[in-house]
Amino acid sequence: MYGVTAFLYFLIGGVEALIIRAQLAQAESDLISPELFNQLFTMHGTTMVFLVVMPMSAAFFNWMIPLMIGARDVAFPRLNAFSYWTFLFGSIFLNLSFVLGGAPDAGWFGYANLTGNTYSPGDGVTFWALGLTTLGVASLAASFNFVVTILNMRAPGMSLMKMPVFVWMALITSVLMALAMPIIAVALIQLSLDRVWDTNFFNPAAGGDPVLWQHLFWLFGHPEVYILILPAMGIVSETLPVFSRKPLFGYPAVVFAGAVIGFMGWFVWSHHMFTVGLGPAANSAFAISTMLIAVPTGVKIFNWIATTWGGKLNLNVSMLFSLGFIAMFIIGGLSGVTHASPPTDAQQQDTYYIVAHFHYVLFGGAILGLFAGGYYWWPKMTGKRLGEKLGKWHFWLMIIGFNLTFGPMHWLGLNGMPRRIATYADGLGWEMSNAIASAGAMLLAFSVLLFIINVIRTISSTQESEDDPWDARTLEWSIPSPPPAYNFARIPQVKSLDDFWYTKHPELLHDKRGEEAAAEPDTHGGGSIHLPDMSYYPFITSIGVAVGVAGFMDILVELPGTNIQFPWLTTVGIVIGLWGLIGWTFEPVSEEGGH
Amino acid sequence: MIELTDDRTHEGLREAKLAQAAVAQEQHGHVADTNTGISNRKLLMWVFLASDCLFFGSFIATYLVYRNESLVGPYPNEILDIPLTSVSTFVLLMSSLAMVLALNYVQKDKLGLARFWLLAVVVLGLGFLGFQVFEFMTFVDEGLTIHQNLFGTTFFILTGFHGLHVFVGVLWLLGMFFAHSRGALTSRSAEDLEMAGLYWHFVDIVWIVIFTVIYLIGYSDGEGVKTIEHAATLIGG
Amino acid sequence: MANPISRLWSKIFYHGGNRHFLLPNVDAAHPDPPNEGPFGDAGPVVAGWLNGLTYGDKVATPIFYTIVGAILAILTVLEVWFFTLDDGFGVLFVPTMLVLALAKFIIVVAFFMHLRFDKSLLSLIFAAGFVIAIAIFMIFLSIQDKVNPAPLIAP
Repeated sequence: MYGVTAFLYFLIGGVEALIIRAQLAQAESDLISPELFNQLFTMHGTTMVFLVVMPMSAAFFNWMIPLMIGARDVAFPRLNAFSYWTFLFGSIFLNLSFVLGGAPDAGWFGYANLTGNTYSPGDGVTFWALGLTTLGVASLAASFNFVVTILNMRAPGMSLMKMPVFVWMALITSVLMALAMPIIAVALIQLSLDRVWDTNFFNPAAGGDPVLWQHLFWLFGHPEVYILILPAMGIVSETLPVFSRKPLFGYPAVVFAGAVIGFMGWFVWSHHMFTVGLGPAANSAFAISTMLIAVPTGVKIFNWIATTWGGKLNLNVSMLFSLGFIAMFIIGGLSGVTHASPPTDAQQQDTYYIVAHFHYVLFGGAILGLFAGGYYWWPKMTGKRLGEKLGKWHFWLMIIGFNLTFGPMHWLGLNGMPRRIATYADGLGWEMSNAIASAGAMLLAFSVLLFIINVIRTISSTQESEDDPWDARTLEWSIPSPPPAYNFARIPQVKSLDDFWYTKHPELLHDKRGEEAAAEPDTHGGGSIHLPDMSYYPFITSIGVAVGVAGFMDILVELPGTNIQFPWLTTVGIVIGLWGLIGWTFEPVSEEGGH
Repeated sequence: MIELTDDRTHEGLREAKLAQAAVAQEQHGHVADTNTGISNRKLLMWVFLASDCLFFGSFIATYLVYRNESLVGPYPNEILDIPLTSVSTFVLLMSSLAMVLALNYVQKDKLGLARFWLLAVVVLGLGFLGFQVFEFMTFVDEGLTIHQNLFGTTFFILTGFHGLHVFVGVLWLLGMFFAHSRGALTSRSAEDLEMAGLYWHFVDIVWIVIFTVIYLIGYSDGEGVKTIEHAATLIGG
Repeated sequence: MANPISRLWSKIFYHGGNRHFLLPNVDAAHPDPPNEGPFGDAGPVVAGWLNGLTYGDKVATPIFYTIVGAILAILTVLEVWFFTLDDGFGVLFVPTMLVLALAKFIIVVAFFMHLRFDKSLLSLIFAAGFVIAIAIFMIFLSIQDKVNPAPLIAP
């Protein structure tokens, strides 16, 4: 469900981007009004970050983590459901703003006090703040679930260093989410209070400081970008070994580099604020920490390249996307390193160069990685393989379109084109690059269309694939595709990293372990598998949360016919939420289940 | 439900694990059947508490950024009532003690005493909330609202969220009190009570930080310095 | 290794060309004396005493928890008393407050929240959240400019 919803938002966000590109294709175009333009780029950014990449990663986590660690389900299935429904309702609420008085238009990172009541009157930004708060609750719930699942529910014998890299990256991502989302929750609550209740958090007239918002946002925002990219890195660490017929080069190094990125990512946030005037000391400190964080990323990239080196490459679509990920992410990373230095950043900040950088790492990185995972795990999830020929067209058109769109933005930015401008004057020399970028965007959109056609064709085709079409390495391929509801009939006994591979090819084990593994039959025990029943309480609680938060928008509503002001919608939300929570708590649950 | 064979471990490994669990059970109480030996719910609660640290940390940091920055009064040194708040801090600390006693008695199967102490936690928690409400109402009467200045905004929202957490905790414990007062408290409900206890203690330690930073250390906060002459008057006065 | 460079390296940096630092041969009749810390064995003794006090069968009784609660109450009283002292501590006021608060924090977390007796993974999880929070907010507060800076020149 996460995957389908996230993909729908990918299409919506993509359409928003296409309109932006259409507007910018020509100088002094008046295709759309500046107000609409502002709403479009805000919603495009918010949609892509919070409604596409994060939920799509969550989709993969949901599907793949239990399968990869040999578990029957996540630790808290109802909490899982709650986080999906809350995500859905929060995203609908956010997008309702388009029809309910105007979408937010202050940029996806909503700098105060542009987002205050004085400069952003109307409801748009309040929709944004409250919608994101709801989404934050959903992400938090999901992150708690995955941390507990990964730490507690691995198959016997699977120590932490025998887990697939994807699961490691999921663990680090979930820890980052658990610790970073509260910060943006606080910032958004402060903003909402400023807008709805006239508090003074970012009110300069009372002495408030807009830079506070920037600090709080980027304290969240920087770990957030690692949350966005680490799952894709995990996916690529899975596909590359399988399609190079070689184990991952330097597994401990890749895991450790991921952990170091997760940790160091907390100490670089002010590189988004080099032009705010923090002073040379702060700027230098953050410049150094930002440059240092390129090191573990480089370690991972070298390890991936070494994985493919000398391997027997199967260049199918998933592999192409994985290789594309590495290439595009390197380009994005290089432009990122140029921002790490405050003097050069002073030129690049708020220009299209930055736009180019983050699209290379987020689209060329996260999205390509997610497509790689999609093609890789499609047969696992549905029992059918996505069409290879159409997939290759998809890949090549996408990568060409992508580079045509975002490549020119590098020199546009260096030539001085600022970001977030609705139009630009004629004669500045930017017309050609903008036109190329817009053409590239069309190509990109067409490639996505090809993907959709591929999906539709695959769904309607009857050709089934085997359980393990790629001759893969990790546990999820050892069970039928699509997996039965209980995942594993027999919980596997894990003896090594890439255990499934060595079970299939015991001749590849070089040590005594191989003989033991080959000689040991699976023992049989008694007992039955008890699956928890479905519950509708998470859905109800979700509705309560969404309604309660939405009610905050216009919190005091007058009872008709009287003078009494009452927080109607919020109270209704709280009541529904409590009903859901109480029902959830007292519902009988199986031994293995939790909340 | 699906009936299928479910094989978890080797025979020998299983014996060893059971023996280990039995020994650990004697010493510490539960050892859960998970990779880490900690039950899912307990692990969940600790991850939640780590994340809540960040939540309160952000609000406290916001408060600290805005110390001495309010442009108009009332200022902390004019309005904070330390004796009153000391009493409420003491009340909350004792509620933590009551909580841990309640849990202890449940684990020792002394259910009557456990229920008494659980009720004590609820009463003390409500007492703390009462003190907070009284304090808020007094401040509003003296002119400090969330709109008034930076101190008002940051103080009320920070302590307000803390109070909200206390309130949720009180509701949770009250719910536990009523839900388990009928039947016997089982080992499973001991675990539930432990989770509620962890939450309650966390709320207490957040208050320890707030009391120290906002009340004791922040008591001397006053007007922000606006000009050189203004600074001179503040030093002299 | 046959490589002459690595042989030279070993010669310069390792005793006897082996990869170990050679210690004098010790016979069983004259074993090495036990290591001593700078304060004799005060360290292990105190640690043992603390461990015995806070860990084992005798703990987790209601009496123990009441004693801990009493200690917490005393610390609170101390805090308020220090506060009421008229500038008795001067610049040491804030550190004293923070130390007392930290002591109360650790006591509640360790004993009431049972972290002392639980698996250390839980301590790691809580410490991760707490330490990251403290670190980033300390950094944040230190780079924060005063919001309303006093002008350098009188108007």
